[in-house]
Amino acid sequence: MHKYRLIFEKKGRAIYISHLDLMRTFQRAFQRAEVKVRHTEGFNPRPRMSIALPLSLGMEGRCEILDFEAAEPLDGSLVQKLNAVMPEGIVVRELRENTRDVSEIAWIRYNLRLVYDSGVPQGSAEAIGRLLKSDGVVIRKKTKRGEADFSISPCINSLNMVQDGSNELLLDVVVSAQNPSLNPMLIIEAIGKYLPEMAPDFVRCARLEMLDKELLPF
Amino acid sequence: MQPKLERILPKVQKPARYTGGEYKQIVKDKSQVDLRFALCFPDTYEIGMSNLGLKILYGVLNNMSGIWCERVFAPWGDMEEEMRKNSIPLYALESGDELREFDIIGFSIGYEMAYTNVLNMLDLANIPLRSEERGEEFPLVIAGGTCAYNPEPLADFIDIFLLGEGEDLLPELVSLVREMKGADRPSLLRAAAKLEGVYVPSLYSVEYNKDGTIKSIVPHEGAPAVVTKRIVQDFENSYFPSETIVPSTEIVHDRTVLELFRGCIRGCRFCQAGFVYRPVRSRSAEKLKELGISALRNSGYQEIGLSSLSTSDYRELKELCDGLLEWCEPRNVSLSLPSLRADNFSMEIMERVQKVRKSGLTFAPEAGSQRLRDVINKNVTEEDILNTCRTAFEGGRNSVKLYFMLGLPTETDEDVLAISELAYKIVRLWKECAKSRAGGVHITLSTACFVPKPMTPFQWEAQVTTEEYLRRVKLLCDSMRSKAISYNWHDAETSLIEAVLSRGDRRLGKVLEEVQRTGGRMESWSEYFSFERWKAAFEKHGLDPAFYANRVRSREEVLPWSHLSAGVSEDFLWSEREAAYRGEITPDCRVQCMGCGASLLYKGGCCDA
Repeated sequence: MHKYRLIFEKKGRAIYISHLDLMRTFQRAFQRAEVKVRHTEGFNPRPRMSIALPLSLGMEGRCEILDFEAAEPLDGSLVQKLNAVMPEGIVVRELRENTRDVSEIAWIRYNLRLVYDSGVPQGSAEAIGRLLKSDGVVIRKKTKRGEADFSISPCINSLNMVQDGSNELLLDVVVSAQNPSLNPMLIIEAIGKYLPEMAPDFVRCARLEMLDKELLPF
Repeated sequence: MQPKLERILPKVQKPARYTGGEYKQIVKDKSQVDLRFALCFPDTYEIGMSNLGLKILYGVLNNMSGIWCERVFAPWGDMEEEMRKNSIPLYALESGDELREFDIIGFSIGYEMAYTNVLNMLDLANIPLRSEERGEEFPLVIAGGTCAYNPEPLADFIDIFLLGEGEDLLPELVSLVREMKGADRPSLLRAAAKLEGVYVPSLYSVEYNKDGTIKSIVPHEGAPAVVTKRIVQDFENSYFPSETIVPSTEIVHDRTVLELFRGCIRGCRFCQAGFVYRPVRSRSAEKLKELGISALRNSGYQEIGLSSLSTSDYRELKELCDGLLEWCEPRNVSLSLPSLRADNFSMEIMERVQKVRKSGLTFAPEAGSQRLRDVINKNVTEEDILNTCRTAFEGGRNSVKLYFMLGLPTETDEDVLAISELAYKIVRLWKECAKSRAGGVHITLSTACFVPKPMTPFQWEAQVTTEEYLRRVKLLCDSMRSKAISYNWHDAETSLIEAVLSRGDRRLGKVLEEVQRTGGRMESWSEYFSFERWKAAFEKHGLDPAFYANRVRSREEVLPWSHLSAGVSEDFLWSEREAAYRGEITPDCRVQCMGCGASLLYKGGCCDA
């Protein structure tokens, strides 16, 4: 069995490619690069590949993971081969043997850039930092069974907020990856709910790093 | 990407349609090119990116040095709203530049219901709709595609129409525009009109009789009296897009498409494509296999579809399928064969191709009775259909889709009821020969209202009124009580508008403008189509849709497209119309050449019939 893991980036115009479309994009790129991916058996054979912890549409990813099974052993030259046939904005960084289960990913580091068109309101960095560190920050979250209240503070491991220029705040945050996961955009929702005057006009979000439960790189 | 876009893309459905950046898109340095061409498709990205013609033209133009061709599609309603709200003009996907920065804006128009999108796209680009309102600072606006055979409703908005196949003609026109940069627009138009296949509507004046019919169409300033379409002379070696853009989001036909041949030998009398794409020209199986495999290698697609008007009529179909399967099967690439005829040979091919998944069967008998099928020259018999169904049922298939038209010339209630009789015969046949009765059989019947099209033998016919169409729908609906049969019918009002536009004249320009102005767009999508809007626009401009749709024309009438030709003579079309009324079938082109005139387009050649 040749189980491999690709580490790739999704950036620029590619951040608008949805999870399902990204799967198709990789299938075709593998085909173009003439990589033989193992397929499932049965009437409708599908390539054996999966993308861990799908990224929300519109977010940049710098630490994305795609696991797949190859029909033959591969080496590092695959990275270059794949990048030659990728759409703009998807860049493969590394090929690894798949030796660690993705369920070991416990934390994820994100960078959020909060943009204020008419300048960052005074004291926002401090106020937002205080808010996110306090208990009892609750927002409504859609679940499989309707909506439920969701407390976000337990899902935040650490955060650091600094002002960057007069119009932007930069939030560096480590949040839980699964069971439950915290979509960092919920943090923005919480700001809108608790500090409406400090709600940003626009947010850019990038996923920087997957971490295990010891907060070491996965 | 424009910073403004970044703000709106998260708010719209399927934003990947609006970003560009796909694999194999072509980017050139705009400071280094002589001419920029915006290739516009007046429908969504998903539909446009599935269009083979667009892939061909994109490749042909970008293969010209000094020319950069980019793509533009119509945004869906949510995106349009955001663009208008945020003052983002319509832009091309490759560069993100707005349309006003281009030299030529070229629309590929395949169906009438896209006309309002053409206007809406110009409007979204902040370009005046009417040619006469566009100064020299605006791009030249051109159009081609099947609608160019009667483009008259768009005559006020488009500077130049290209008739026929664009592979050769479009580069000729683009080269002319490049050479004449700096010349004034009237000189350019006059020069363009000298190219074979170019129609410049502003060089023709149309006069009307009191009864609203056309009195005369007169060319000016040296424009030809009749513009004849262009065809590719050497189809075997003509450009084939074996390196295409691979969309990063799902489109309608998400596969490699291999074009087997152009034209059709059948001559079904209602079918515009069957007449305007003549003469028949095909590629060899050897060539096609090579092109198909290289397109699959380059794209990474997992499916290849064979494309033509009637796949079963391709002479080397078996060899081609075998050749492709040999490459495809070990790579899990599937082969699909649309447009097969209902005959044993086709079933055999299909069984060979679909070794694993059994998809449903789809037929288009078009008419229920043999009499009416003879009238329309649809040379398929009930026996063919039942035999094919028998083979399918014995092979384990349990569903059949059947397409028909209502309102065909000479249709009686008996013909309508023959549709349900055929459906019941198929149900009985299934009961006799189904492999397993578990799960039952599913027959899906669909009917559309017949739209008479220009340059066909039925171009003089009246469309039945919407009331009459709906009466026939009800008649058919009430005659079927089986749970195994489900029946869908096409919207009557859309068909009426289609009929008006397909044989319309220049006066309809005002109606189109009004419909666009009052919010009409994406009219081929039922969620956007509004008959009320069209009705109001007709009333406002004193035009009657029935005049265009429901009126029989005489042989002598000057039709709005009388000055345009697809190569098939009007005499031939009229003789076919008369044969239809006598219920006589015309043999296909391979059995006997009927001298339709299209072979004259072939310089020194004869069609592959």
